Amino acid sequence: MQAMTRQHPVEIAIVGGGCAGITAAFELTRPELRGQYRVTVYQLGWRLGGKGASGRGPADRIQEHGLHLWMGFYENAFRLIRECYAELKRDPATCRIADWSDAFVPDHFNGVADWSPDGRWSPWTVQLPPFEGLPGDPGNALPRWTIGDYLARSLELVRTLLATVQEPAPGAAPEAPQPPKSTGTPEALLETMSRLLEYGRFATLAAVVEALGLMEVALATLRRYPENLLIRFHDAVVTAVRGQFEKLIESNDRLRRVWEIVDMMLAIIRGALRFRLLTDPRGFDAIDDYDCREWMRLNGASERTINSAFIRALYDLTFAYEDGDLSRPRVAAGQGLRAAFRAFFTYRGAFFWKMRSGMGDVVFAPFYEVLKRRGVRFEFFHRLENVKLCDPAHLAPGERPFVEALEFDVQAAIPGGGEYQPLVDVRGLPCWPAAPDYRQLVEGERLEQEEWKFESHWERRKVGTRTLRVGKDFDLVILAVGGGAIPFLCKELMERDPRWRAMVERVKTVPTQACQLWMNTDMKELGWSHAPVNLCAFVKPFDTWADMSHLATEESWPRPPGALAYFCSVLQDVPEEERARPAFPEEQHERVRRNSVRFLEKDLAHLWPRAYRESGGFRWELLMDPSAPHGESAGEAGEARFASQYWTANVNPSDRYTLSLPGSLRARISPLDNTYDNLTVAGDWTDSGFNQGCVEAAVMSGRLAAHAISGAPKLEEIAGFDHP
Amino acid sequence: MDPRERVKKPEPGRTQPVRNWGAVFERPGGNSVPQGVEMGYRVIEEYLRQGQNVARAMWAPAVGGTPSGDGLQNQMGAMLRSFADFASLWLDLMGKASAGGATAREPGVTPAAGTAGPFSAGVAPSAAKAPKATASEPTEPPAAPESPEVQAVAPPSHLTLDIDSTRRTEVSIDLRPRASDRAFRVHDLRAPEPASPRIRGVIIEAVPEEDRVTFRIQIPDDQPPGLYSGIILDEHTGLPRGTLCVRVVAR
Amino acid sequence: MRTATDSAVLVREKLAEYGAATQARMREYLRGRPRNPEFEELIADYPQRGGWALRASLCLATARAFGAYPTDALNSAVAIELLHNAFLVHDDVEDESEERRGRPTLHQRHGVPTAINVGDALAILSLRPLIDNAGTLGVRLALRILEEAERMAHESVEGQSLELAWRQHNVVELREVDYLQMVLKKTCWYTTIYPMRIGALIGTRDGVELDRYLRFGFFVGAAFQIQDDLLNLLEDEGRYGKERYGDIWEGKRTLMLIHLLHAASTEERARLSRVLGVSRAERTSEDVSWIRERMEEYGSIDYARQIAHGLAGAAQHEFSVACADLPDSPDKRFMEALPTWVIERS
Repeated sequence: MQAMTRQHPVEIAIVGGGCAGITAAFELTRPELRGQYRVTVYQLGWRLGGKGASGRGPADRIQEHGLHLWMGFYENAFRLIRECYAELKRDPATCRIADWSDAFVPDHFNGVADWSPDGRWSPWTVQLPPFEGLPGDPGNALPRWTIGDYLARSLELVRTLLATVQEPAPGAAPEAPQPPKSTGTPEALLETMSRLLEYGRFATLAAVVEALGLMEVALATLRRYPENLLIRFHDAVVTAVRGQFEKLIESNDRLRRVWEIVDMMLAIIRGALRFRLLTDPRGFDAIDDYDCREWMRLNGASERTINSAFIRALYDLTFAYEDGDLSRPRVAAGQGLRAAFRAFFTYRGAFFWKMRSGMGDVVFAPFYEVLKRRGVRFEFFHRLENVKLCDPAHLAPGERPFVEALEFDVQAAIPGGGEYQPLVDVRGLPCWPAAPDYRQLVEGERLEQEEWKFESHWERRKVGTRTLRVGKDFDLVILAVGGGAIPFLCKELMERDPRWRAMVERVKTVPTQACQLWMNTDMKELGWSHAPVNLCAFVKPFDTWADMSHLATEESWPRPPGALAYFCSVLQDVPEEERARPAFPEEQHERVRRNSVRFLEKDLAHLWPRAYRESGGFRWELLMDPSAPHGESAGEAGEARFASQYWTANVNPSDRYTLSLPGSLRARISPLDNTYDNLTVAGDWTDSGFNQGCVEAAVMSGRLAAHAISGAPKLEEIAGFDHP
Repeated sequence: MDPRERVKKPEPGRTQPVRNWGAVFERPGGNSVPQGVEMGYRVIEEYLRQGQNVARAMWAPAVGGTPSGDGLQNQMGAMLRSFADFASLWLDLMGKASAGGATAREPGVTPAAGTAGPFSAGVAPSAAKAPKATASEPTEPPAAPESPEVQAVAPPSHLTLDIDSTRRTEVSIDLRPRASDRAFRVHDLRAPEPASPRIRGVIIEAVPEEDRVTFRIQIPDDQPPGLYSGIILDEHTGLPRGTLCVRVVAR
Repeated sequence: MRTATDSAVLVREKLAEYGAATQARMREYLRGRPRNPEFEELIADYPQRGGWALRASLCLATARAFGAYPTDALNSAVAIELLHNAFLVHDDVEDESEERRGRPTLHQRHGVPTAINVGDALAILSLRPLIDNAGTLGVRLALRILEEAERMAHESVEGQSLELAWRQHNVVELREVDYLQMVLKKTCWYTTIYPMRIGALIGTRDGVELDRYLRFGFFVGAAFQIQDDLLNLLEDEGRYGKERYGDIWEGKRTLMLIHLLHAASTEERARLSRVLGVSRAERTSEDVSWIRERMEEYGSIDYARQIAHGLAGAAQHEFSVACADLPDSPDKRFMEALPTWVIERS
C-alpha cells in the first residue's frame, strides 16, 4: 500500500454508526495498524446501531426495530463480534453477557407455516447438516466451492429426501446419504450417462436416486461440462421423478413438501446448466436480471413449487416485495440462489442464532466500549445533511474529484463541549436507552418537553450546524448511512454523476413494520404446543413470528412474562409525495397499530388457539402492561390494552430495508470504487459481493471500506467475497 | 487544497469479487480459441433468451448512462434517434399490414423482465394447479408463452367487389377484422410515385351479422397505371385491419 | 473439394460483383433528386470512397441463395450501404478520426456541423429505396423489411450508446462478454444479421423463420469486427484506411484493450485508466505507443486473434446448422466461405 509519508495520523470521518460504519471503525483501529488512522463516528440521535439499534423502555423491556436473527453463515459478522468480545474482556462475575457465547444462542430453522389441504396451518421443518465449527472461527475455513460444488450438494440433498420417501417411517431420522458410486474417469461417467439415456426411462425411484448420484459426481468433478448431455440426462431424470411423485403427493402432506423442495432443486440445477453458470465468470450474477421464482419457473419448476411455503418463507425473510407490495415478490435470481446456498449449505453451528438481549446491547454496546478504548471519538446528535464535492474546475490534471466538506445539523449540544455518555446500566449490563438522556444535553428539559424526535427524518429542529472541511477536520470519508437516506444527502453527487443517479433510482428500499408482545402466560397455555419457533410465510401482514421468550428474564419485570413474541413484515409503501408530509410518521405508526390489532383479532387464532375466547375474541388481558405489571385486571381493558405493547413503523429513510431487485444489482457502487479518491461508501446497499439487506452484507462492506483505505483486511480474508 | 498534500485512497488492485476461479483470465500462452467459442455462445444464448424486448429508450441502462450535457453528443443522439423515429413514423403512417402478424413471429422466449406473479398465499391448495409438463429442449429457449389473446378472426365469408373502371384492374385485399369491428374505412389509395394522382372515394360496407364486406372502388379513366394501396382501418378505433391494393394495368 | 484459395477468390469476386451493382443503383439515389449540388457532392462523398460492400453483398447473396431474382434485393442492399455510410460519417465525428479510406474525414474537411447534417441526410436517404420496395416487392413485404430495418436501427443505436457510455464514463471494468454484447448490437445487427434476414425475407417472400440466422450472423459479425480492430493495430499507416493505431487514439474498448486492462499490473492499469480518461487531444503519441507495446507484451493481440478464430469456427458450425436445407449455389458457397474470409482478410 501507499507508503506513509505523514507524521500524523489520517483523519477518518465515518458517517453512520450502524453495522457497516462500526465495522469499518473496528478494522481501521486495529492495534496492528498502530494508530495510522484516527476515527470519528458521526451519528444522529443518541444511539448507535442504525437499523440494528435497540433501546430499553419501561420495565427495561427491549424495544427493537424488528426481528434480528443472525444466520449461521455470517462468517464476517461473527468473526468481528467474537473479536470484539475477546478484546472487551468483561467480567462474567459481574456481567451476565460476558462472552460472545452468552450473547448468541443457536436456533434451528424449524418453521415454515404451511396450509394443509385439511384446512389447517401447520409448521414443518427442514434439517440440513452444518459445517464444522462455529461461525466466525478464526482461519477463514470457508471452502472454495464452485457452483458445481453447490449443485452437487443439492443433488445430495435431493437424494436424501427421495430416500426418505422410500422408507415412509415418520420420526425415523433419514439415513446419511450414501456417497454416490464413483465410475472412474470422467469419460466413463459420461459414457454411463449416455447409455442410461439410450435405454430409456428410470422405472423405479431407486433408479432415479442412482441416476442423480451420477449427476452429482459429474457436477462435482467434471471440468468441461458437456452441457447438452447433462441437460438431456437431467430432463430424463426429472420426467421420471415427476412421474413417480404425481400420484403420491395429492394425499400426502409430507411428500408434497418433499416434492416441492426436490422440484425446486431440480429446476435450479437445470437452470444452472442451461444458463451455463458453471463456467460463467460472473457466477450467479449472470442471472440477476431475472426474478428468482420466475427463473425457476423458466427452468421447469411447477406453479405449486414456486408458490410453496418454503419459497414464500425465503421471500418473507428478506422482505423481497417491491414497494412493499405483496403482489410483487421480486428478488434477483442470482443473489437469491447465492443466499440460499450459503444459508443452507455453509452454515455453522446452527441455521439461525438468536441474541440474548437487544441487538444494541449485544452488538453495539460492546463495539462502542471497545472502540472508545481504542481512542475512537463519537459525535452523537450529528445528522449529515449534505456531502459537498469539490469544484471540478479546480482539479489538477489527472486529479480525481473529491469530497470537500460535510455539512451537519447539530441536533443537541453537550455543556462545555463534553462528550455524551450514551449507555445506561441495566442490572450490570451496559445498554442503550429508548430515549436520550436529556440531563446531559444543553436545555435538555426544553428539548424533552418539546418532544424533539432526534431519530425522525421529519424532525428538522436543531441547535446549530457544523461543517467539516477536508484537510482540516477530516482526510477521508466513509459514508455508512442507510441506503434510503442517500437521495437526501447526496444531491450533488447525484447531479454530477450518472452512476449515482442510476443507483438511487434502481437500488430501492422498502419500509417495514414490527410489533412486540409481552404475555403473562407461556406459549403452551396459549395453544402453541411445539418447540419455540421462528415461523415464516404466515398470513399477512405479519408473516414472520419469532418466539423470544428467552428474553423474559433479561428485562426487569416484577413478574417475568410467560412469553414474548416478535412479529414483523414488510409495509406497503406510499407514494413519495405523501411521505414528505410532517404528519406522515404518526399516521404510519397508527397504521401499524391497526394492523397489529387486526392481526391479533383475526389471524393469530390459528397458531394460538387458547389465546382466544369461546366467542372468538382475543384475550387482551393476556398482554402485560409495564405501567401496571402486576395483575391482569389492572390497566386498560379490551383492545385499548394493546397500546401498552410496542410496535413500530420503520419509515425513516435510513431505516428502510434494502431490496435486491432483479436488474438492480449492477447499479450498486462498491466500497472499493475509487472515483472520488477520499470517499468510500459502506452499507448493505453497496456492492459488497453479497448484495442482500442483512448484517453480513453490511459487515462485509465495512471491511471492504477499510480495505480500500488501508489495504487491510486483504480481500481474500473477507469470507465469501470471492465466491460464485 | 493543494492536491499534492491532500490524502487520497490508494489505487485498488481490483474492485470486483472473483466469482469463478475456473474461469479466471490467466491463460499463459494457452489456447483461447475454445474460450472464444464459449463466450460467444454465452452472449448469443443470453441475448436470445432476453427476447425481442428492445428498449425504445436511447441510452442503454447497463452502465447507468444518461445523455451528457455535451451538445455534440446530443446532436449525435438526435440523429440516430431521428432515423429510428422516422422509420417508426413511416410505419405508423403506413400502418401495419396485419395487426399481430409480424410481431407474433418473434420466437417465444420469456424476457428477463418477466415475473412469476404474486404468491397464492394462505389459500387452500385445492386451487393449486397440476405441475406443468416441461419441454425437454435442452438448449433452446423455453416453449413460447401464450400469445396475446388472438382476437383476429378469419376474413369474412362473403366478400363483394364493386369495381367501376374502364381499365384492366387487379384488386388484392388483405383483411383481418376483429370480432368487435363494425365498420371500416380506407384512406385514399396511393402509388409510390408522388406525382401519380390518388384513387379516392373507396367505400367499404360491412354487415357483420351476415359476415359480409363489400368494397366499392371507382377508377377514373385517366388514372395512370401503377400499384395503388391504402390501409383499411377500423372506423371506430382507427386501428389498421388490413391493406387494399389496386393495380391499374397499362393499356 | 474447394481449396481455401478458391473460397477466398469466390468471396472477392462476389464482393466485387455485388458491390458494383449496389454502387450503380446507389448512384441513382444519390443523384436522383434535384437538390443543392454542393450538398449532393458531400452526401456522395463517403459512399463513393468504396469499401468491402460486405453488407450489401451478404444481403444480395442470401436473397439469391433462397431463389430470388438478382434485382429483388438490390434496393435493400443500397439502403444498407447508405445507412452504413451514415454511421461512418457520425462515427468519425464521434471518434475524432482524421482519415477514412485513405482520405480526410468529412468533418476534418467541412466541419462537424456539416458532417452531422450529411450523416443525417444519408440515414434518411436510406429509407427511400426501402419505400420503393413497395412497388417491386409489394406493400406487405416492403413493410416487413421496414420493420426489420427499424429493429436493426434500434439495436445499432443501443450498441452505439453502450460504447459511448464506456468512453464517456471512462469505464475500465469490462469483460470480454461485455464487448461481445456490445458488438452484437452495434455491429453485427447491421453488418451481418440484418442483411441476411432481409435476404431470406425477400428470397422466401417472408416464408421462413428469420431468427434461425441470428447465431451465424452474430459469430461472423463479431469475428469481422475483431479482425477489423486487429488490422487497425497491425497495418502500416495508410493501407488500412485510418491513421495508425487510430483505435488506441480514440480509446476504443477493443478486445485487446480489455485483455490488457485485466492483464496489466496495478500501476499500469492506473496509467491506462488515466490515458483513457482524458480527451483525445490530451493523449500523447508516447501514451499510444506504450499501450500498443503493452498489448504486445501481454499477448493481447494473440488473444484477440484466437478469440476471433474461435468465433469464426462457431460461425461455420452455425451456418451448417441454419442453412443445411439450402440448395447448393455460388451464393451459398459465398456465405459459407465468409467466416474464413473475415478473419483472413488483410
